[in-house]
Formats: sequence, structure tokens, C-alpha cells
Amino acid sequence: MSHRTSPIRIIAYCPAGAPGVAGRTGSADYSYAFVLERFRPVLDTVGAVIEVHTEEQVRQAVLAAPDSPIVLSFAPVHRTPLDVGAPVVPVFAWEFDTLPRWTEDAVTIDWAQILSRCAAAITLSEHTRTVVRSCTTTPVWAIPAPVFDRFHPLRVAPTRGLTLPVRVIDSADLAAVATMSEIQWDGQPQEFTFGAEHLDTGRLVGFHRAEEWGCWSESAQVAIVLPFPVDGRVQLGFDCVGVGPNAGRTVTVRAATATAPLTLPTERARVTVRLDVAQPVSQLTITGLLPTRTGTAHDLRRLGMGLSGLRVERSPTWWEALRGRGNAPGPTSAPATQPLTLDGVVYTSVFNPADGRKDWRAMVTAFCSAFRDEPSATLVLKMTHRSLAAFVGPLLSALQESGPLQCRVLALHGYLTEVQLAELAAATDFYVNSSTGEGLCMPMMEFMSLGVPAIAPRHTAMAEYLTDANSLPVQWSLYPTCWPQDPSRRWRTHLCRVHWDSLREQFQASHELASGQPDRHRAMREDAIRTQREFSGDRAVGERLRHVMAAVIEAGP
Amino acid sequence: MTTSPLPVHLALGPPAPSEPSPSPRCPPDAALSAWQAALRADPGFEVLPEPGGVVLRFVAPADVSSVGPGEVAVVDWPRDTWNPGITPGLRAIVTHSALGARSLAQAVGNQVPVLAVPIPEPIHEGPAEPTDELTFTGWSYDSRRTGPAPEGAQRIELRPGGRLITVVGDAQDADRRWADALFAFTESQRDRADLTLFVWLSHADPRTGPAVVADVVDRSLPYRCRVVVGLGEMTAAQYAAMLARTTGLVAGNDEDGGLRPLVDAMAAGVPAIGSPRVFPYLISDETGVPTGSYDEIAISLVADEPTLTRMTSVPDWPTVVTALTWCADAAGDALRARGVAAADAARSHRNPAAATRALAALIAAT
Repeated sequence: MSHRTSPIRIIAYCPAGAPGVAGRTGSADYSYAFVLERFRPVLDTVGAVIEVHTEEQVRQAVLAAPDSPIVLSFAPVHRTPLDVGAPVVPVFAWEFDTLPRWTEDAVTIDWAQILSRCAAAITLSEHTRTVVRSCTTTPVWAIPAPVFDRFHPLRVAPTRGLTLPVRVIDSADLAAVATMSEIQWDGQPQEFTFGAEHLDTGRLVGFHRAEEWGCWSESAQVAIVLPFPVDGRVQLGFDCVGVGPNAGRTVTVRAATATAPLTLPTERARVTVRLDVAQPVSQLTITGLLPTRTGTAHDLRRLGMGLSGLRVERSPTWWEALRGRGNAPGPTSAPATQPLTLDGVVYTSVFNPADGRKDWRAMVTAFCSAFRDEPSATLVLKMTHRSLAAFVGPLLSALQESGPLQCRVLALHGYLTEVQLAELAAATDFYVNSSTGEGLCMPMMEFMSLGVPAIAPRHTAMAEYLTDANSLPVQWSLYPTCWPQDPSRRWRTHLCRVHWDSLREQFQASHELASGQPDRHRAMREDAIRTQREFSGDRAVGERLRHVMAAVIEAGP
Repeated sequence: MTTSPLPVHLALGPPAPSEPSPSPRCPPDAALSAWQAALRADPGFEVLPEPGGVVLRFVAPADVSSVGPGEVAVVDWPRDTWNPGITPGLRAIVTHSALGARSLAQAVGNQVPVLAVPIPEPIHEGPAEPTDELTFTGWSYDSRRTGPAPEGAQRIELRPGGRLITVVGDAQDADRRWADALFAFTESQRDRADLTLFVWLSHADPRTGPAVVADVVDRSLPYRCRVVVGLGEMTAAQYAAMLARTTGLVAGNDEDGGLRPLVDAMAAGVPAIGSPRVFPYLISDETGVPTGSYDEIAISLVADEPTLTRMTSVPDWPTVVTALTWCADAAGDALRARGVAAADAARSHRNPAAATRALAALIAAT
């Protein structure tokens, strides 16, 4: 056995950088920054930690270390730095039941092969550990991110009044979306592209699922939510086409009280309209469409207009141009601090709305279906993404399709500190998860650490800490799917599809529980805390980390 | 004492159709033909060629609101709680499934009586003689074929060999439930070269159908079992031959509608694979292999504006895998026993005399 007197040197590599940069929130692999941030205090008790963000920095840190360091890579496995002159231990999450392996453009992505070149691996769940062990002999340990001791001390007394620095979309006041401001507009022309794979598509309300070329409207009235309000003389260029009786039809473009006719071409083309907008407004609506089946018997959709792009620019008068108003900056983009009062039984979920695995539309529709006539139910969706475009259109569409609602759905957009998240947890009766797979689900663990029981499916990593004592189970079943980013899109793995009717039933059951069984609800809160103390407390995680470090040192280079 | 026959007139579509039927999935003309035959065979009814007597108007869901006062609307109602807005004085609504009737009753409340009765199609003959060859005219994907599929409609001849499991699906089903069965088969029976899955897709557009199929089959992993997907036309004899050759039939639609493919197969002695929630009274451990399912809300297909009022049934995929595996491995005796029970259940379900009796009672009560 080797004997070291100096502290273990740990090089913590995280290409995602540091968390808290609001502009990157929701980007690929961004959650690894949070994972490292959670691990950092415990790592500091295990060894001397240097944090780096590039492979070059890893190599420099290895060379500079006085004795053999250990590199912990907080990144997806295919981004693990290899051959850096020190043992490398990837720390990662993976929610599927097979490890990715594919070749594209002569480049092979093979997690098992990469892991076989590592000294060891740390997975964030037993679920992932089991999958890894089926593919490689590399030693692997399951250690969850240490969440409990970071969040539990922030617990505050239950409250219903909050003040948070967020933009709010409130189902009780959807008209407010029309004046929402997300970014500054400097008056320069702005282009928006709609279609599959384009983030801007999420700004469309009342459209069918995006296709590669663009989107077909579904409703007689559709809307586009711009990231900034427009006012004054504005020129709008629609890349559009009319279908069936809408070809050649003149519809109306509206921005607040300003209107202009838009004649839909028979073939896709840019059509420009000008509006003189009296007060700032960020929502454009198009009315007068005739949703119609296309005439073939093989497409059940009703279509009105196709839209693939939009150009927004100022159209200043000569007088405004002379005075420079045409390039005047728009309103500030910082979200104002919002006072919020949450009523009834409050459900909260925190997630990246651009991550399709979250299946948050099922959550919203199940909630609305369960509580259509129930005013004492509130669903709070804390959206973790830099842009409203990741969710505003789908959310507004789902709410409109749900019809008149007595219950309330709130989407919060903006960066929240841990203290602010703890305040939100204090106002929450249940945390909700409808995901098709979780590598760990730190937000739910954080809320549980703050005494919030869960409504969630017990699959993948969640099965390791959800029990009857701290959660209401949502049924799920396996379904074939492809690995994310697999270019072949072959169905080589499975996701865990949540049963919508079970989710709806658990919304109803939880409402009865919170309203009529306070003792049981209190016991669930206490058990959520107890579970997370044992599962993700610093002591338990620290012991396991020390064990892994010792094993890696023991194994040698 | 004899009573005079009840005069009825069967009409297709709304009095003044404004646009093509928005729901080709439930063609009302097929239901009209079945009712016409059943009512003509029933001495208690007199079917009038011209409007008169009690008018039974066969319409698509979106056209229920156009059915006039005193008339009976006959509609294959989907599981949609959207209220179509019915004409005051509408006599009754007849639909062909229990689930549809339940949704309809939820949508229109107690404004009008709703009757659920299976399409009154008689089951004519016993199963056809099994043959080695399946034939149809159209387009096919065959996992054993080398080289590209021929373009345009062809006469297709298949010799499946070994045990054959059939899926009858709807090419227009946006959720592609038939694909669930295909993936369940290729995953669970990957190395069984003696098994064939035949997916027969109705309502297929010959221009876009092959692309829809390719999008699904291209995602499958390599397998030794055989998959054939067929689009096109099958004569009644060809269809009967297909059923006679089939070991088990997967109901590949999430709508119960008129249940026609399922009941046809069961009547031919084919054990049914599907969810008892979607096909109540038909699928059980005796008549086939039950699978699990759950409900999900979907956009209404009949409302003017998209509304979340329709329920769609989602197969619990692992139970489909289990059912297909049972079907692939079951002893011949066990399959035959379930086939006999399936035929009995189908005959009992689709009984024209019972359907016309139920209609007579409805008319008498209204």
C-alpha cells in the first residue's frame, strides 16, 4: 500500500465552466458545472483541489503538481481528457440503459472504450454504475452529488409570499406576455428563423410541430412572442405561404392596437408589412386564418399559413431618422423583481425546458386536466434556460388548448440564487418530475433537502432516493429510443415513458393529501429530509470519495 | 298480432356538406352499408329509398352539429369530450364503441340519448384455408429483400415461412402505434429467423406511405427475424387468407372506432393482442393476449380550434414485448384454444340482430 503524507492533489476539470452565468444557462452539459459546484466543498475535505476548464489547463496542472495528482473530469464521458500524465476519473451521469457507441465522419464515440482507459469512474447513480459495469471492467463507484448540507441549512418557514428576480408568465394574466421584455433591442434588424432545430420556433403560439423548413399554423389566430417590445414605425418581413383557401387570402397582423393587412402568397416568399405601434408590445398576432385540411385524405392536420422566418426592423420616419430614434435602444432586459403570492396547494418543478427528456408538456396538461375547476392549485415551473424562446410558445399553446382554467400555472424565467430557491421551496407543497430519465435530478434532491416531498416516477437515478414515505409514485414503462446526438437515430436504448393518467391521478391524490391529511404531508416532508441527509449528505459522500481516491492511488498510474 | 315495420331512411353526410369530412379515419359510408344490410334483413324495419320515416344520418364527428331535429346521428365518435353543439330536437346519437359513447355522453350531457352498439356486420364464414402465400397489390418493405423496393404499385406475393404475427394499423396514425409493435418484435425476437411480422397499413397514401415506413424501419437494429410492411389494396379473399395464416393479431390503432380489423381477425379464429382498456369485452386471457395501456390527452381532431379534449391510449410497451413473445413461443394447442374463444367473442360482439333490436328500442324510447 502506498503512503502519502502530502494531501491528495485533485485536478477538477469541468469544460462547462463555472455555474451562475445566466447567458449560458440551459446550454449543453451546463449541469456539470453545478455538479462540480456541489462536489467542491466535499472535495476540499478530501484533498487539495485545483479547478480547470480546458484540457491544456489539465496538462499544465499535472506538470505543475509536486506529486501524482488525480484528475476528476466533470463532463460527459466522451469529453474526458485522456493521456494527461495522471490517473483520470470521469464523474458523470447517464440515464439510459446502454452506453453510447457510434461512428460519424470516421470519428467513433465509444464510452465503454474511453472508460476502459480511465483509472476509475464515478457515476452519480447506482443506475448508471450498473450500466457501466455491464460494459467495462474499469472500477466504478456510485456517488451522488452532495446536495443536502448545502441546501438544508437554507430552509425557512413556510410562506406563500415571495419576491423573486424573474419574468413571470401567469396563466391568470396571459395578456402580460404581450409586453414582456427579454433582451435589449438596439434597433438593428433582427432575423428569426422557425423550423425544427431552431430555438426561435419556441416563440410561435398556435402552430403545429415544427418541420425542417418551418411551421404550419394550427389555429385561426396565431402569435409570435418577440424577445423585445417594439414600438414606433416597425417593418415586419414574414417568410410565409398560405395553404388552401389561405393562399392569396389577406389576414391581419396586429401589434397592440396597430394593425396591417398581410396577403399570404401562394408560394413561400417574404411579405413585408409596416405598423405604427403606439405603445411597446412584444407579441404579434395574426388573425383571420382559415385552418383547413389540405385536401388529401392523408394529413389530418388543419393548416392555415406556413412560416419559416421573420425580420423585424425599425422603419423610422425621416424626422425620427434625423433625430436618431431609429436606432434607439429598447427597454432594459433585466427582469424586474416580482412579488408573487402562491395560493392553495403549490407544485414546483425546476428544469431546462429545451431538454426534451423532461416531458414538461405532459406535466402542464396533466395538471390542467386534474385541476381545471380547482382554484386552489398552483403549478410553478422554474425554467432553467437563457431564453424565453425555449418554452414560451409551447407553454402558451398548451394553456390555450387547455381552455378556461380555475387553477394557475406560473412559469418563472430568471436566475435564482440558492437562497431564493430555498424561499421557493418554502412555498412549495410538492416537487414534480415527469422526466423520461434522470442521471440524478439535483433540483428535486435540493427541494427534498428543504423538506418538499415529490411526485415523480421511480426510475433511473430517482429510484434510489424516492420511497413511499417521501413521494407519490408516477407509473412509467420502458420505450425504445435512440441515444441523444446519435446521428443514425437507431433505437438502441430505452427511455422511461411516464404514464400521463397516472401523473394526473397523483396530482389529484396529492391535493387531497395536502388539503386533508396534514400529518401525513408533514411526515413526508420529514422523510424527504431524512432520505437526502443519508443519500447526499457531505459525510456519506466524503467517505465514499476518500475511498475512491485511496483505491486509485493504490492502483497506481 | 303483427306490427308494421318501422320505416327508416339512411342518409350519408350532413344535409349540405360545407367541406370534405375531416375525419377519414372513421368513414361513415362503411358503417352505413353495414346498417343498411342489417336493417333490410330485419323484418321490423322498412328501409325507404327516399327521405321519410326515421332518418339515420351517418356523419363524421365534426358534422354531428348539422344533423337535423328528429333525426338520429350515427357517428364513430373518437374519445373526445369536445362538445360539437347539437341541433335542438336531435332524436339520438348512435356510436359504435363504448368508449366513444362515454366521451360523447360527457360532451353533450343529457341533452340527447346516446347508444353504443357495434357495427352490425354479420360474420359470414369460418376461417379460410391457410395458404403459404400472402398476396396484395401495392407497395411493401421486406427486411429480407435485397436491393431497393420497386416503385409504384405491384402485385406482392409473400411466403412468410414459420409463424406469422400480423399488425393491422393505420398509416395516418400520427403516433404510429403500429411501430410500437414493430420495435417490440424486432427487439424481442431479434434472433428468431423462423418468425415473420406482417404490418398491414390501411389508409396509406401511396406517395408518402413508403417514406413513413422507411422512417420507422430504418431505426430498427439488425435482426434475423423477418419484417414485412404492406401498403395498398387487399381483396376480401386475400385478407381472409392473411388472417388464416396469422398466429396472432396486434390491434395497432389507439382508437377503438368500429373495431373492424380486430373483430374480423377474432372471427377468423386469430387470438388478439391488445389492451382490454381499449377493446373492452373483446380481449382477455381467454381470447388473446392482453397488453397494458394508459391514457394520454391529445389535441382534438374535430374541434374548430385545437383543444385538449381527446384521450388517446398509449401501449405499455414492455407488455407488448411480453405478448409477442408469448405468441411466438406458445404451443399450438394453446393458440388454437384462444382462437376458438376469440371467434366466439367476435360473433357475440358483432350480432346484427342484437344491433337492430337495440336501435328499435332506442327509437321507441325517443
